[in-house]
Amino acid sequence: MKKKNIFVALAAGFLVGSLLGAAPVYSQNAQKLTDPQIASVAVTANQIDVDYAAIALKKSKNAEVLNFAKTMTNDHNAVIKQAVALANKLNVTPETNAVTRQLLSDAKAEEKKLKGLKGAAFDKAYVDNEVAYHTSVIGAVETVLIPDADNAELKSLLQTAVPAFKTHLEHAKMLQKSLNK
Amino acid sequence: MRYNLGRRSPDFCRRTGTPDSRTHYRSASHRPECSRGSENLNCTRLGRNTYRFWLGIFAGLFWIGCTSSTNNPNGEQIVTPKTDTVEIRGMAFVPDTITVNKGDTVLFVNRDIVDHDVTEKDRKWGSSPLHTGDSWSRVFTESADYFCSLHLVMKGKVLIK
Repeated sequence: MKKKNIFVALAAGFLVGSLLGAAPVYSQNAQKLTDPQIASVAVTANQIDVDYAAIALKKSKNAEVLNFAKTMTNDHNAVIKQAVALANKLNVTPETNAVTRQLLSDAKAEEKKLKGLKGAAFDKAYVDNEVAYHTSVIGAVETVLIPDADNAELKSLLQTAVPAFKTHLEHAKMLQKSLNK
Repeated sequence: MRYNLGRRSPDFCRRTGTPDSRTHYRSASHRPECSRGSENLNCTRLGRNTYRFWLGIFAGLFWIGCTSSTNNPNGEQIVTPKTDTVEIRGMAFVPDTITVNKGDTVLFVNRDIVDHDVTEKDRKWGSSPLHTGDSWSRVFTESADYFCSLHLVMKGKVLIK
């Protein structure tokens, strides 16, 4: 396994671990995420991918990478719009919490790394990160956010978003294969 | 009821025959021999010729319906074009394979939370991006493979019977 792949795997594991570690015991008791916290995590996770895509749209010259980045921008903005609309409807204010802080911290580090790259190296790093990020987000949504959500509409929105994230992951993997040729 | 032909001259009546033949009745049922309850076929309210007239009309219509509505002059069956629907939801075309008759319309409706489009696999034709609730249709005269150009892994097929 190449060094870079090990790094990506470790980074993915760190991200997943940090996501889980931020709320380590997902029992039904004290450390279960509340709906306002879940809303904050959902909006933040989507916004992070929009921000990654913005970097790609500025730096990449690869048509397939640009097409993917545009799709990420549109799709994750659509999910944010739905989440915000639902929060307003339910009169819920998204509550920043340890999970969102960890997500933001990790994203800041990744963005700094991506901004330092260019050309094919940037395209590869961006797509590799998209694969890792979507893998960890899907895992967190399915195993933490959906089970912890109390409100049925919030739960339903998260469940509706999962197929989009999975499609993004498939698309990113397809792009990863073509860039690795 | 008996009635004269009104404007005809008395000379005309004399020329056409006996006083009985000059007598015209509104219908057969009004003839003297057609008393109430008569079973004489000539005494039906409409008369025998009227029945024959309508029988001929219906027979003709039946014949036209049987011979012209389902086949063209070449003997091929004529099928009225119809519209089938493919929904776009859960990041998939539902159904992902649809079989239609040549000339049918397929209506694509986006019921998902993100935009999609419908693009022929070689990009010969395609829709513009469809927002949630938007739809787009196409008449299909040949089978086609298509995909969503925004989400390359989403694919579908239209098959012609």
